[in-house]
Amino acid sequence: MAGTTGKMELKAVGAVPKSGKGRGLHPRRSAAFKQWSVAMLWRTAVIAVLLGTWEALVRAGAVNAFLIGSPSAIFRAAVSMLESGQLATDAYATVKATVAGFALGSLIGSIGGLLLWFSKTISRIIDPFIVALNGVPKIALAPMIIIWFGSGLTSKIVLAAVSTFIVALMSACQAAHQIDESQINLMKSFGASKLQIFTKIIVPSSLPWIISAFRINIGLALVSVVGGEFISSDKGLGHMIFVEGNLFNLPAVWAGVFTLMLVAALLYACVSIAENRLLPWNETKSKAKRTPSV
Amino acid sequence: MHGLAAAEYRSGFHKKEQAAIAVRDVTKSFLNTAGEEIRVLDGISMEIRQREFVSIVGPSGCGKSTIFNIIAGLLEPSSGSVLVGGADIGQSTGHVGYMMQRDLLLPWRTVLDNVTLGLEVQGIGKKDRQTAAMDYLNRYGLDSFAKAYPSALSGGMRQRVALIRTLVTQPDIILLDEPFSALDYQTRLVLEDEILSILRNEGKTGVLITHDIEEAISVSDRVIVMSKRPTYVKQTYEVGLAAEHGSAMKARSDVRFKSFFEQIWSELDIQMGRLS
Repeated sequence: MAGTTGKMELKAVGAVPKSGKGRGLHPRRSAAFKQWSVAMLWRTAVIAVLLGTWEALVRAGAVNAFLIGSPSAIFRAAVSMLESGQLATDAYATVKATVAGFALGSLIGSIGGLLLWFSKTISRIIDPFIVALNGVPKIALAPMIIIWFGSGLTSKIVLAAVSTFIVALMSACQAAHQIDESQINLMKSFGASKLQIFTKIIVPSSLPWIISAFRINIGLALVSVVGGEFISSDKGLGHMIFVEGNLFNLPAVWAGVFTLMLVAALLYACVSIAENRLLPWNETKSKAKRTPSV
Repeated sequence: MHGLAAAEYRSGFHKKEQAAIAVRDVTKSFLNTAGEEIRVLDGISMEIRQREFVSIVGPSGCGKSTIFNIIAGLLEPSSGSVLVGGADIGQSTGHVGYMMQRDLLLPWRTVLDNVTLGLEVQGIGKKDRQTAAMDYLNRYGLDSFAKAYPSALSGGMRQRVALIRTLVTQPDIILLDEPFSALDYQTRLVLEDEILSILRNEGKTGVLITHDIEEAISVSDRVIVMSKRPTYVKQTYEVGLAAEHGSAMKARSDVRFKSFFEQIWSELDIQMGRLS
């Protein structure tokens, strides 16, 4: 986080030559770094205390290690699954299905939602259908999708794509329709065609909304894939957690859950990085150094 | 033969003296949500001369922006016609430059890329449009901001960039729809003067919509006062203080300034009294 903040300020300052405001950069950056380190220290402390208490309670016999598991057993389970390569195989299968489904659904949904800008009539007609589809928990479609696409990777990708498609479509459509009318009038006063208005105004100004839908969608995709793996599959973290759960192998289940957390955090971080890369002007928005008026 | 040539010559000559904008009996009605017809413009006629700077003032909600949208070809009048440079605009757009209340700079484009927007729409090559844009940015001291994003600029700077974005497409006529209203007072005074001198310098015809009577008097050759809705042209004042003094700022200290203000104010005041 500290690194990103520092970069934002650099860009904002770099964007305004001769503003002479660069002097404030270094102290602010180190202050942010200090805040970040303090927060990290506390986070580590919280985790250490939680795990320590858990382990102590299990060792003292205060809680049932068979039903709850213990940090040391989880660690051993994780190490053995890492050594056998099972954890990596499962994590890879889940990540692959999630990323593929997310990319497919978000891409098709976003493009479709943007294109709806061209016809108010069509978007008005399909609006209730989209709302209805959005209301259905997509995991309810999993049994059907597994029947149609098999229990392998494809059905998980389709499931994730279906879940993310609707959100992407709705936010892109909404973003495209809420463009300021005077912005469009300005383009028309230059003599712009509808296609020019679309490519030069509608698409770029919808991007922030589309990308913030990505943040929601990466989580949705993961939930769908894991849900699909619960129902029917031969690998993946969801599959592993489900199988080990049926065997009452709680340490392995925990190891799977922690891996999922890690995967979710990594995927989310990737989307955030992509967001900052794709929307450089957004960074400068809040941090902008104002030049004196007139 | 000779007669025809003479007629052609005369009409050609006449075209040169043609009003920059001629609005002829323009009416505009809208349907409200209840399906009733609401008449906004009630037979507007006005002529704007070449290289003239005219302000249109009127009570708020009187349809000033509607007139602009019709002149720019963004809205179709219910009846009547608009001639720009003697030619009926029909449903075409792109014959006037339009500067709006808000600068409408695109936040994802740098100042340079914002300025070239109009040229880009008109299909001019990247090199040519950047050269043209840098030329204008240089001329008006904004070249050092070419690579900056609009968010880094102050409100006054942003409006200057918006004006240059309009100028760079080289329209003969520029419509200004309350471009100073969002600015603080000092910035506004400086910018009024600046924009006026830029338009004179470039030989443009300017039409300004404003609700600020002082602003209208200080910058205009003529002030057109509109009635409340349904709108018609109530009165026209030949002001010309800015042209006489060479500056909008100096026009404000002219002895006639106050009497113009009182006359125009009373035209508007009566209507406001009736409205409330």
